[in-house]
Amino acid sequence: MGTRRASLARVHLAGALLLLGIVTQGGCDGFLGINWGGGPGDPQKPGNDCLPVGPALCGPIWDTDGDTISTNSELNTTNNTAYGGFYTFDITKWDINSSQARGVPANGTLYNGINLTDQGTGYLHHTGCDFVDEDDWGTGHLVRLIEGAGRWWLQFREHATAMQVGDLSLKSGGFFGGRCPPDHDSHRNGVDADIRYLRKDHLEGPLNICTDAANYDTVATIQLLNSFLDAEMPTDANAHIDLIFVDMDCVGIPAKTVTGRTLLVHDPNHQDHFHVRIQDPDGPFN
Amino acid sequence: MGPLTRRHRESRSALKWIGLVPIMSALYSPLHAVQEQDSMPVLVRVEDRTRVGPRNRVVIRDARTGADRDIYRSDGDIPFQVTLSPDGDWMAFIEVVGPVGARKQRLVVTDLAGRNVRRLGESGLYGERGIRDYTWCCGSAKLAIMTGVVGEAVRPVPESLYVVDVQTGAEQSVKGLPRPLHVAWAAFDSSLYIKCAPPPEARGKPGDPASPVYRYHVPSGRLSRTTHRGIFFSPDGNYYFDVRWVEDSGFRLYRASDDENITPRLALSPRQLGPDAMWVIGAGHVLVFIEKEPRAPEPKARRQPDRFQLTDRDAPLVYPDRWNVEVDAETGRVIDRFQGDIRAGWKTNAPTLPVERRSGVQLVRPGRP
Repeated sequence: MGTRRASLARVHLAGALLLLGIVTQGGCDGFLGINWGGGPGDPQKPGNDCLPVGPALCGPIWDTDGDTISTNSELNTTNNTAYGGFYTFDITKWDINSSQARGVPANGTLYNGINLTDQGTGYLHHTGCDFVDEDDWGTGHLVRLIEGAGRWWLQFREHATAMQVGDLSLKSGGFFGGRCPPDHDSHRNGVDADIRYLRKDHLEGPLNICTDAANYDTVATIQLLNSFLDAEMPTDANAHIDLIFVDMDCVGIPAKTVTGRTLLVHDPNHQDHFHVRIQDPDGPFN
Repeated sequence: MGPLTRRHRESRSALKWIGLVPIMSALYSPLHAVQEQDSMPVLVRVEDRTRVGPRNRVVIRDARTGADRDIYRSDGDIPFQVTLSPDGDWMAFIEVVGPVGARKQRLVVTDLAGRNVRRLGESGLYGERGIRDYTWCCGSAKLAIMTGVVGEAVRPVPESLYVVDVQTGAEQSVKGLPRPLHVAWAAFDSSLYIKCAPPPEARGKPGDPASPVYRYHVPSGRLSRTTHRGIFFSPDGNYYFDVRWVEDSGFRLYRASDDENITPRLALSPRQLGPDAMWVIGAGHVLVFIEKEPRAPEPKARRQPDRFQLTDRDAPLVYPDRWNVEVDAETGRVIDRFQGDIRAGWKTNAPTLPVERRSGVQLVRPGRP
């Protein structure tokens, strides 16, 4: 646990670049400012693919080729086939996101998952009991939702703690447990992610909002949740949040959003993190 | 350090922790209040359950006058609900004390006079070995206590199960359990049922690995693996359920005789079969669920981001207008619907269900199938 000043400085620099990217929307006329999906059920390329091989920027700063797979993910060697990943990304070309959530969160697998970069704009990944790059695989939609939420969090947060991302899924999904208790009942097909609540002391690290309520920053946690709602938009990650598991007895946030969506669901096992689940991006029938 | 030395150190560390269990402060009595024991049902809860004020005391309600009286006041917080021993003589609850950044949790066991106070298994809140789960068992004055890592684990911490006599402090370790996770008491056959984690070799494999369920027969001390798939048995022992919180309908009902999943026979929509189900004490096999409103349909096109808003901090978190539904596990039929908050924290030793209504707390007798 610590403030990690150096990493925060990097995060701030990334935030400045992010704002620049938002303003300029990259440097390519072909970028429409929308996200074309990227799941197997969605079109992978826009009709006006503007990008020849070359240095031109076609997307926003975090996705220079505008293919909805972030530049960070494309540069993340863990995703490269040479390092055991499933892709040979090219940051100057459109790449295909072939990840699929197969089955259901409590009984499924992850096909061609994308590894979340361990540290990105506005977020950090912590491994807990797991090895590096073992516990942070997801569908492309989930990964870019987290990355998008990190960008929004960096823009709007009131204190300097990065969003702390815990477990996603294992590399090929399946049962996620067997090392440190408690095991996950879900997290098996790349649509689930655990995020720590925010602390009033602004430190990174675990927080149990029931037993350590005096240190629980409800306002910051709402901002963080709203960062996920911002990132949900078609112009950003274009991933649809299905549910967010929290301990409703302690979280101090209504289950419904202002538009009436019931997103927060009570689970007493979610006192030290909330759990974001997206809708299966490639549909429930595989 | 060689493996033998490391094992020795872990063993000594475990014994040191166990040594904390019988810590007793018998003369501690914050309020010196005495509850007369008579035939009136005991009704206790943690205040302020509504969370408008601090949550740091346990009160007992006088059934004659309706007045609440403090029987324990904490220097810290009492974050979860109190549990009452079956005979109503003892209660237990988790207490958290200490300054922010160095908080400790422990299990407090006390009689209803608040005089005999024991504090068990003190630990930090994060990544330390401490109490993970507990349940009253084995008669009236014993607790089954499960220990393991508290909070986020950064290294494997062994789990253990003890049966502790709250009067004498004597403890009995239940050995031979592979990674116990949850424990429940089944009075109908004087046994503890323990759900364990799936085997580690299932990690990363497709499918849904089974969590082994063990039975510890307390009178004989015999431990055996069962074919059951859950640990929450109906009072008559004919049915049991299993819950998976991270599913929208993570409730499964099984027949104990053959472990058949009979969930589909329940006359409720899957969404109503929430994991917050409970057996009604005093009825053979009656389940009660909190009714849920249907989920709003997803808006098709969203042009603006949605928002969460801070709740009103002064709004009490008690729901007297909520509806509940009772279901007969045998036939699957709905027996009754009734209004009130069944999760308002009240605990009683009477074979009834404490329900908080606008008119106050009432002890509801379960419907009969």
